[in-house]
Amino acid sequence: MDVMHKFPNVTQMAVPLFIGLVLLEVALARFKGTARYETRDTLASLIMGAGSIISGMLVGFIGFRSLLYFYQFRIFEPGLAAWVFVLCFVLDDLRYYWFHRIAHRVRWVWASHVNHHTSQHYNLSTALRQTWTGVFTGIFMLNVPLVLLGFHPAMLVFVNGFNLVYQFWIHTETIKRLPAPFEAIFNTPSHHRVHHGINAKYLDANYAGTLIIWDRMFGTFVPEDDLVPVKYGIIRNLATFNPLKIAFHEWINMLADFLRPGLSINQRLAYLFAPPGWSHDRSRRTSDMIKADHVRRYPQETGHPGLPSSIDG
Amino acid sequence: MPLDILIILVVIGIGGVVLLTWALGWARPTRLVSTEEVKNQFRLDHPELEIGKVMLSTDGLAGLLELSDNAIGLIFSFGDKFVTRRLTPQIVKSIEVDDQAQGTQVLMRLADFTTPKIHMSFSDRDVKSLLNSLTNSEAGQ
Repeated sequence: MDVMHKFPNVTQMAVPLFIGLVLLEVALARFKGTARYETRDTLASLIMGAGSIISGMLVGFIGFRSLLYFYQFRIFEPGLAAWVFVLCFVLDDLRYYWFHRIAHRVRWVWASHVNHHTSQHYNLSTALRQTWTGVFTGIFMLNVPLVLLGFHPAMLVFVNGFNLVYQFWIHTETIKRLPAPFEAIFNTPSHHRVHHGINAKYLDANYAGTLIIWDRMFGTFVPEDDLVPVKYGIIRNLATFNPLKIAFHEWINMLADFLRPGLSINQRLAYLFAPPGWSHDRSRRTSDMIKADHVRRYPQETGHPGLPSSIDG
Repeated sequence: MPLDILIILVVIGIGGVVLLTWALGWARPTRLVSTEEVKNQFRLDHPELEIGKVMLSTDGLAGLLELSDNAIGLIFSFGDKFVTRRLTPQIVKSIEVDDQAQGTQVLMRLADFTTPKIHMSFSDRDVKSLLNSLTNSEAGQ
């Protein structure tokens, strides 16, 4: 199976669906008040989405060609049977979970992923606020184990397209909860609202793409608490709708931190690879520090989902 | 999907959605209506900070807060949401304070390229002394 497989570009094919559902949600926002939109926020998100497609066309080949190199060392030849696609989808979803977890815990990858979280809104347009710089993080290397198992890079791109399309519809406040069996297995609007929250208990939770079972398995699942309305955005919210600034701000800030005078090598490396919010003088706060502060202030919440099990963190 | 069709879809889609939200009046900035709201909105981002005196700008688009750790809190309208900052001399690039008959005008620039310069107007003349801790430092000017 050395030939280049040609699969449809699922994400591009879904563009009419994206537009139609955004229009539907805008209508629901107007007539039922179940969603909130802001003009410039929406424009920024949609331009980020279009820019992400352009970025994929321009530099996506870097990741793809790299994976093709590893494909020659594959161990198995699973072929193109239906079960292979299903298995590939599930394993790619597991890969997505770890990518996403790393993206929130390592500043180098966060610099690319952060723009998806920069809106203080949570609606279907937010889903399209996608990165332009993902390939430069090198995180596509997480696909290498799948390629070595024999899944062609084109198949990985194909199934990942379904994963991304699945994640579109969960960016909404319009749907509150789905039937319990569905909420138990799949990522849902409720689970993903938690992921976009900056409330202490919601930070660093629910990294799932399609299947929420990964968060349940690896201990990062936090259910939405009806008593704690989700506050969306990032810890230090941006005050710009400029897509260029949204796309590159964290790269620029990270570089500025890395080049600060008077730092040791370890401190410079920590500015690149430690969790977002790390600083050499503790003048900023990581999610762990925010959670620890929260339980010190509200000891009765110690051990609640998403919060430390002791006041000492 | 052919590239030309994709481009047309994206351009019409973005333009249509954005025009619709604008026509529905969702481009109007949100405003703070009281010093209590200034305090409550600021607390959402900084629950760990204790707040002293609070000032609301005359147009309701911004507010300043005296913080217990000797920093100054800033909150300003951003679309239909708010953005907050804890100001110290290190992150304030410049502050211009101009006392006029109708109130005190403040123009603030932060050392942060994602935050635009902020114009504020206060009827409370104490704003100048509140901002002193930022402007008296070398880094503040």
